[in-house]
Amino acid sequence: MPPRVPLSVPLRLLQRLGVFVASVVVASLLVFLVASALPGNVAQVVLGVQATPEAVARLEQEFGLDRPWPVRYGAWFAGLLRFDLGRSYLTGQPVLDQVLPRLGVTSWLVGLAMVLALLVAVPLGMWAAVRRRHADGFLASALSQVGLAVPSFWLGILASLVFAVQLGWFPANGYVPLSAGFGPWARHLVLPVVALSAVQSAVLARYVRSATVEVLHEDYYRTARAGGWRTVQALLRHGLRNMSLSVVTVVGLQLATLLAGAIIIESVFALPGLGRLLLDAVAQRDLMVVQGVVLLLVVAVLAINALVDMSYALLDPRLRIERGQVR
Amino acid sequence: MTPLLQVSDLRVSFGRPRREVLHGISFSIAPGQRVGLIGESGSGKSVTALAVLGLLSETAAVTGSIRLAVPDGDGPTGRQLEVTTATEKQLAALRGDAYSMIFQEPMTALDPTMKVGRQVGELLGLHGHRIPGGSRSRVLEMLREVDLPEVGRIADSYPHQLSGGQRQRVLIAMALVNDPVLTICDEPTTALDVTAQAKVLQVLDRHFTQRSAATLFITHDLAVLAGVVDVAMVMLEGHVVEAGPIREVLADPWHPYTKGLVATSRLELARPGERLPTVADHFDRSIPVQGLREVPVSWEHRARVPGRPGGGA
Repeated sequence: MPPRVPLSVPLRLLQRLGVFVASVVVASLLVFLVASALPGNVAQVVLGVQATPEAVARLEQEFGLDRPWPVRYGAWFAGLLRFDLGRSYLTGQPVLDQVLPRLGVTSWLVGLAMVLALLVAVPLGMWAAVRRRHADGFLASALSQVGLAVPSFWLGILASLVFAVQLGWFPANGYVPLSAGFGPWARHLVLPVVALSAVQSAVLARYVRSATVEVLHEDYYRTARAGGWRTVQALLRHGLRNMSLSVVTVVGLQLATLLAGAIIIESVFALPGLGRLLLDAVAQRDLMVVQGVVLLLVVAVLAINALVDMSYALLDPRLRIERGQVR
Repeated sequence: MTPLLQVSDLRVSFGRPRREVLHGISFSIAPGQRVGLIGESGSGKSVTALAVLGLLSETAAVTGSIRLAVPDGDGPTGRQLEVTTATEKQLAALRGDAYSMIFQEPMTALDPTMKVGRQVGELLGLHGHRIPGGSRSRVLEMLREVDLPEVGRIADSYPHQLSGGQRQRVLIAMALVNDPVLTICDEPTTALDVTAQAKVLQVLDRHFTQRSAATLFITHDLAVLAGVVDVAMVMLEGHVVEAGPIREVLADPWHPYTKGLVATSRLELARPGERLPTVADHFDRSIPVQGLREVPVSWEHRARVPGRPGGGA
């Protein structure tokens, strides 16, 4: 077997990009097949239960649903290449026009929840690790354990009842775009973001804790302590970057569960995001919208994980191969 | 003169139920004194070293006393810090500054994500040392002092780009950059090949001589010790069993265990075809080990376990 020559950084990025594109193509086919396998059809929904089979068949033909699936997939995929997600069967509007205004809501929700989860989980996990032989560190571990067991929709409903209905601190539901002012926008997002990030914080804190415990046993951490850095200083200065490798991987993987959670939280708080659009489209068997939204979510997850992969070389110098370097 | 380090009746135990691994050892190190600590794996050498700088894990229970002299910029202040009761902040101020440590395993002892020049340089700022000409020039000077080639390139390298011997010399540069009064060397040459070993020993010896700095040099290799230290202690199963000037200990070992160590290190006496000597030829492990109460502060006189005849087990 010829020796594997390690690729240079640009080549590796290019290779990773290739993997990403291939995954998107495969994902589009899977999304299409799953959507097509949904029982029921849109023509029936449009015409109602009393419609004659002939009328339903005629409408199906009009929508192009009578063609074999490879043909339908081909037409849809050709559209994707031009950033055209097709038209809704129900409204006749381009799917993209329905998706774009809702993208902002979901992006804010998921992005802020991830940031909040990191802000909570990194200190909490590090604390739990450093103080693991003391009561407070044990408490931090227990807290993240409990957080794992709480479903986000239940937390959302509870938070809504207490902080919106009882105390009236925040609106119970709805959404105001950022363009309408920061205050109202933020007030509408507080409860959904907190509810969504709670579980994520708990999961992440457990990874941060074990990554930190690992660093505490590393020789370079001992070297840093022997050089005069105090426990937490040594961890932040020499541990954080080493830990970030495993934490970043988990964050990438968590994004998928976060998107799934967002769909539910959007329903609980009546946020006009992609999740609501998707649930409505599924109920109405508007497959073109379903396919469009799901594909978008899949691409987002794949893109984030591709970025995670590419960030490794940035975080860990051992993965870089500089030009002209001889070992 | 106040000793730099004064250890009395130091006992360390781990685990539950408590298992004692150091059974009350006592010794002291004066400024500029070079002390060797010999013993096999598990004899308690590294535990002693880590205890001195308060670097043992939280699970260790330490009793007895460890006192470090607290110098300021100009020299000794007469103040002492009791390590066993000191705060992390007090200890951190001494570690890497007046007291430093070099470890056994150079391959994993450097942060893999940071350039080595920065790892050396940050210790200057940490202890508040202002360097005329900037810390970069001091880092390069230090790397030159440990005989590294092309210091500019090395300073800008990550640890994985350097060899084991180079990494150990970077770690030595880190330990010596703030001009410590005492450096603990915990088997600094064990993981290195013979050429790299010689280089490291030469660098350390030169530094201690130039700065008249003290060292506690830990090893299981007698040949290494003879060239570096003035006096030595022999450790066995958590006891100090013999101590004195290194030449005398090597030329005329008293304790059966030391006799065994010396015999096994003199391979030139072995004849081809003959079985090599082992420590067990001289020393019966079934006899419980008894330790010295105290190593004399002066180190001038040899100390041995009382009631034990000089020869035979």
